[in-house]
Amino acid sequence: MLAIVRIALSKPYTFVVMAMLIVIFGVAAAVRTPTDIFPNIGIPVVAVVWTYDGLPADDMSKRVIYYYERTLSTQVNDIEHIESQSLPRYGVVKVFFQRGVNINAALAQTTAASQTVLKYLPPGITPPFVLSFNASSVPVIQLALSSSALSQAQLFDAGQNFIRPQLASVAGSAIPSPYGGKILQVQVDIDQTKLQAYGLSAQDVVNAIGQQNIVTPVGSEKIGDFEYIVSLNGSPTRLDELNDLPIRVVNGATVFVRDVAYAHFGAPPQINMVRVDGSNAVLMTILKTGSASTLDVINGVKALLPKLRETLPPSLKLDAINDQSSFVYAAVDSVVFEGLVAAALTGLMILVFLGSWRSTLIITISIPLAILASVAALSAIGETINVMTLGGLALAVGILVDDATVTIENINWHLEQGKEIESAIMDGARQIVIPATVSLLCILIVFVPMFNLGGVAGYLFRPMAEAVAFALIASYVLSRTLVNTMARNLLAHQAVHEHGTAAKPTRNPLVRFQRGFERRFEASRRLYRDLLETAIAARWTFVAGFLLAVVGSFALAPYLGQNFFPSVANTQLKLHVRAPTGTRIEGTAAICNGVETEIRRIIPAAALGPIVDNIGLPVSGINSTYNNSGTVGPGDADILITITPAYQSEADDYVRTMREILPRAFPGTTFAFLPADIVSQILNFGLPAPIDVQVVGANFDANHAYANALLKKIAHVPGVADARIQQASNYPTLGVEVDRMRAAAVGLTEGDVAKSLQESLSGSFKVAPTFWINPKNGVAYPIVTQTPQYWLDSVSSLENIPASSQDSSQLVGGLATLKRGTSPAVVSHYAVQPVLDIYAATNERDLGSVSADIQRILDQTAKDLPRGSSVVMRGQTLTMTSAYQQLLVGIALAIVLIYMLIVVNFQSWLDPFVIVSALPTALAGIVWMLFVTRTTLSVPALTGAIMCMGVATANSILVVSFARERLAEGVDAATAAMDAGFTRFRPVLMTAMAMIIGMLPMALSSELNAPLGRAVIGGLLCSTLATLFFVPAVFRIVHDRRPVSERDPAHTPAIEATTI
Amino acid sequence: MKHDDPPRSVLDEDEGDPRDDAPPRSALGKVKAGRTIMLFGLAAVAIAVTGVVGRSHDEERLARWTDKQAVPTVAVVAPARGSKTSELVLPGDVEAFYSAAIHGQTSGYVREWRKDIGAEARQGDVLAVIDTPELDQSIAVAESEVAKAKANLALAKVTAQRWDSLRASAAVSQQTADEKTADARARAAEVAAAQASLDRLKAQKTFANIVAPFDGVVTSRNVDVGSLVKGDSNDGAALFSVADIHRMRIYVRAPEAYAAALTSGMKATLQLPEYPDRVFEATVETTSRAIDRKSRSLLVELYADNEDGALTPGAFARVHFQIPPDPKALRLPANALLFRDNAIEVATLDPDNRVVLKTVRIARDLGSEVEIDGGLSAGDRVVANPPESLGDGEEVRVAGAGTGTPSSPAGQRGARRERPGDARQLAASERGRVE
Repeated sequence: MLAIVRIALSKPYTFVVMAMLIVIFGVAAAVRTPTDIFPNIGIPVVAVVWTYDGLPADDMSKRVIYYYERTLSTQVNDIEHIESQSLPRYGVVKVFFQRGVNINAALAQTTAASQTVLKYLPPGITPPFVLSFNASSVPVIQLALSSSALSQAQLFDAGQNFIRPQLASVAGSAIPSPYGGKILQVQVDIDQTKLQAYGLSAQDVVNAIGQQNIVTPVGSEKIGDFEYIVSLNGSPTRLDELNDLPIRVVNGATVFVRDVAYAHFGAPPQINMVRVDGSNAVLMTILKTGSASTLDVINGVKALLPKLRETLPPSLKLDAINDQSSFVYAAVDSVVFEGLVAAALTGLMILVFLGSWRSTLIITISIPLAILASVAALSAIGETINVMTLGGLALAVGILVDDATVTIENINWHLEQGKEIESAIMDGARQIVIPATVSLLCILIVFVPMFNLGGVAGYLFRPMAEAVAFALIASYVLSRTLVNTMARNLLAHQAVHEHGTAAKPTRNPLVRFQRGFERRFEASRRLYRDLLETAIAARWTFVAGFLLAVVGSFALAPYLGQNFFPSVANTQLKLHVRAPTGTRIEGTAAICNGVETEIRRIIPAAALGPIVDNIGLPVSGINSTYNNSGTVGPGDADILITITPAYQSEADDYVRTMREILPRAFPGTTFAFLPADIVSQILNFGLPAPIDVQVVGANFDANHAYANALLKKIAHVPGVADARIQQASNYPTLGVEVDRMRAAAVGLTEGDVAKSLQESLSGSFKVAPTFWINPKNGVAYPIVTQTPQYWLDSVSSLENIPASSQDSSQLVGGLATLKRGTSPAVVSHYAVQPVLDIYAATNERDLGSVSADIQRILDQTAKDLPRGSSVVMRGQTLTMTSAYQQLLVGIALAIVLIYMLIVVNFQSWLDPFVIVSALPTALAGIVWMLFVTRTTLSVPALTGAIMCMGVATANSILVVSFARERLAEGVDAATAAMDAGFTRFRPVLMTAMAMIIGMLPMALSSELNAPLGRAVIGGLLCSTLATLFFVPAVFRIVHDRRPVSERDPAHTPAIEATTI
Repeated sequence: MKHDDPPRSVLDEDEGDPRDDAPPRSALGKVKAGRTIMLFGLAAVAIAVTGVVGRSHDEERLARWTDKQAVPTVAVVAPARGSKTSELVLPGDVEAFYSAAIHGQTSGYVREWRKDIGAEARQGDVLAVIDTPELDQSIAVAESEVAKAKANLALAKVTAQRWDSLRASAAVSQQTADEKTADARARAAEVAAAQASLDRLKAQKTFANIVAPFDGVVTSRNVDVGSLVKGDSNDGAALFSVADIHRMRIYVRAPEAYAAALTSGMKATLQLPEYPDRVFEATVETTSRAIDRKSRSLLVELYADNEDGALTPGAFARVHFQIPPDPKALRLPANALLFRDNAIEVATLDPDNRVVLKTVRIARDLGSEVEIDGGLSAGDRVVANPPESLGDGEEVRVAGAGTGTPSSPAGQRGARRERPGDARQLAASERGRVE
């Protein structure tokens, strides 16, 4: 170490160049590194989406998903758990992998497994979509397509076939199918009456189209010099020609398609509707995937928009809405601002304390350099610039100052002793190298547990710990090198040392202010000495009282409450509306109209941005994979409400009012507020609510009854809002129970009935897929033969669907009885077991208390649980509990590690104990600060606590090491303690104040990291008190017991006097 | 202070001897310190107490709010007395009331036809005339045969008279006279035979005019001028078909499952592809009273008046049978039903707005409504769209029924809006767009 210092003095250019390199690389890294809201949460997830039109949720679960999940569990390695949702028409299986899995191998295995099972699944099912994404895949921007001239189907077509392929070129974007609109396809509307009149069946029409509209290459023929391609008019070039295809000759008259059906551009019955401020639109959601930065994705999309607009019809309006980039910019900017304010305040404080602009200059140069070095290092290991890393850097500022200040002060002290500049620097360095290393190690050690943090919290806080660690290491290195080089050049000519003696009279107000400060500081130092004297004199009483106060403070801890993360004010509200299960989409739209009217009554127009309704199940299962709002059918709708920033603070009131009014105004409909902004969506990890009570087990009916009873109890837990069961099991169902004997008597089978029903109710596409290529735009549109839904609108129209085979025909009603009943709207599995989710959100109460109350209910009702079933709490509660455990263990481990480090350093068991004994005070301070500011405990607060441990220890080490030194010089314990406290008053206070002032802007903000700042401030305030009073008192108690003579004679001061 | 022994504290070097004025300052310090600590302690306790009290107060308020929120709000409906008519729709064939296929009975070439298809014909109207030259000749032959036979008869009579008178004079033998008399009788029979033969031919001649058997419409014509008609053969196509379409018979092959519901006198309406907007009335006349073994269906016959001739024979019709209502049944919207443990229940409210679950039996399912024939009384307040978790004895809030609901009128309007109507409207607009 000292060799480096020598180099810094003898070869000054070396480290100036190093500083310049840091600037170059640091600035380059800061510019190039992607900026994002959060670090990449690389929990690998592979989603598999199975689609089968018309298949109800129950069958999807039993016939497809269950089988596939079991195959997955045997064929794919490193699975953490499997979740699945079976909905009508599609099933989504999400496979969560262990950390560090080779995602490519996992993808390959998952895909292979889906090929294996394909033959065992219902006939005609297509291989699934396999998508790879992670927990931070959230919507970052949405495009709303609307038009006064184009139909909804054309809008969807533009989105699906023209905009989507172009946007796919934006790196890191994932674009599911558009929401809303109608799917453009060739619709052959069958007229049942006419079919019956001709004695034809729907099958005949399907066959006719299938045989007359073909894609078969016929070959080539050589004539003369050329080889001609022989082409066949296999497919009509105009859509109208489909109507002219002959079906069959009946009694000499040819029946054409047009006689019994009508082929036209149309849409299947709409299942997903989107409205922006009440008018129909198509919504394209763009998500970011993988490690791409949110801002890059948004900017990439925005850059493409002008080009896209040129290729689209002029009447199509393309608007970007819910742009999260402003949120990211705001969050990042505010953290950067906080950091700058912190740096400025700290610099000012240093100037006031040291009273030397030269010293201050050296310190303020070294801070940005350390930060830039940290940014470069973060960039090199692939971290983005985000709220967490920036928060870490802001946190580091306070500590960084300390390192440089200690160095400079020490040099100044030696200069004051009249030494030459170079020897002053060398002596100072020699004295300081060990304590500086020890305190660096202390702070680094406390961050070690954070690297073991699992789950989301780990992904979020590891980069923060890295940022702090890199900055501290950089600062440590800079203090040994560049600071010394600069000190040699700047301080050499400092003829008079500034503080203390021989002050010339001056008129400079700043200098006068500084001198005034010095005077007051000295006065308070004297007051401190008196107080310390009293404390040491009455040491037993004092220590006991102090400990009592500390322990007493912990009594407040239960009142703090626990959250995973603090809730931040946001400008978006997402209201999930669930109409009575099975409500048709038109009915849900009507309810949404009413809800919107009500919302506009509650929220003043000035506070309200656009309202976007997204009604019903999206057209593609891929959308359901990314969607985290728990939509299961046409009765579900998401209403996205944007609050203008000026009214942001009112958002919570609006939510409460809506929670009161809406359920009463719309009986039978349930409402829930979902995580809307990017932060809470990431923290909820794909769940629609923070609280998720899962009833796991195969006994569906009994579990449902139990869950219903549980729900009622949970709804009464104070602070619970929006409690609901996700898996509605009352989807209205009409069972067609075919009497097989009766059917057989007229020559029909169950299969004939099924086929006839399918053709009438869900179209022919699944059974006999055919396409028509539009020569104008080259898009292949599916041809779907179907009875229009509006012709089948009663029970008897269902009974009157003819079931026919080659030579027999009978009405369905003649063969079957209709039975009314219910079926599940959605079937969910967790770890290949059926589950029921009770979702709930918290309202004005912390997650920890609410979860504890719910856990109590679970324990009480455990005896009612059906045999073989179990009930667990997952969701944020689980993540929070595990994060807390890890962090608390981390804190304990940090204390142990620090203790051991100091034991090694002091070569004593007792003195480190003195130091560690001050740490509970820091915790008590945190409790007080959080209690007074009404901040709940949260992961950031606990991180702050860990941070505090490091700084508090470093301060106590200063005091104890000086006391030991004095003890070694032969003074008694009381004097040593007294001297240590008094001498170290200034540096201890400076370190603590630098840190506190550095944290002030963060603590006062309402951002995610505010509790961190508050915890650090509270902890440091109290731990400084402990360092200044409690530690000397304990020191005396400890050392009073042993006479001086008994002390280790071989003791050499491990820590040299570091007079600052 | 106690520690005034060497080695001296560093403090002394910095600050001069602190013990010069130590006792008073220390004492003062002690007092000050004590007071400060006391003050701090009191402040801390005060802050803690306020904080804790404030929090528990908030918690109570929150608990009240949550409890209030946890009471579900429901809408109630009253069961309606008397059920609606329900419909059974079956495909049917429209046939004429009478329909005759007219064949030729006399051979010959068609000389002329007078009525084309679609023409109305009164009974006896000549539809076509067949040219029968052969027949005419046969008649001439027959006429001469008659004349010949008559001549023979006259001769035979005279001969017989003569022989009779001769016998009287016994000029001839009795035998011979009897022969002559018999001969005269035979001749008379021959005349009758020849006459009958002539009459037959003449009658045949009348079939050369093909006439309408009853008032009706010519529905087919398979002859043209000059075409040969073979008499006495049924294998050829009918020359004309005439149908009486003043009334129509509609035949419906009802699946066995519906056989019991279809009785004589039932009203029905017809819907024809060619008249999508028109409804024809019909009445069930009779049924075959036998299930066809092959198709397992019952043939049902309906009559429909057809004054304007819009119904045409052979047409396809959707026959909507109106199944008469059961006046005793109670009707409920289908969304009020709860399906639990294979039983169908409805949630009713007692006067205290507590839920009473009742098991009901569905008599008939009308789609959006069901007929209940047991377990429910007309005065019950039934919960519409009951939440799945609704349990016996649970307290609910009734929507719109006072207790100071903060709901605004507009919201309730939205909620109470007739949903099926809405849906239909939307469906209609959807249809418009699709088409």
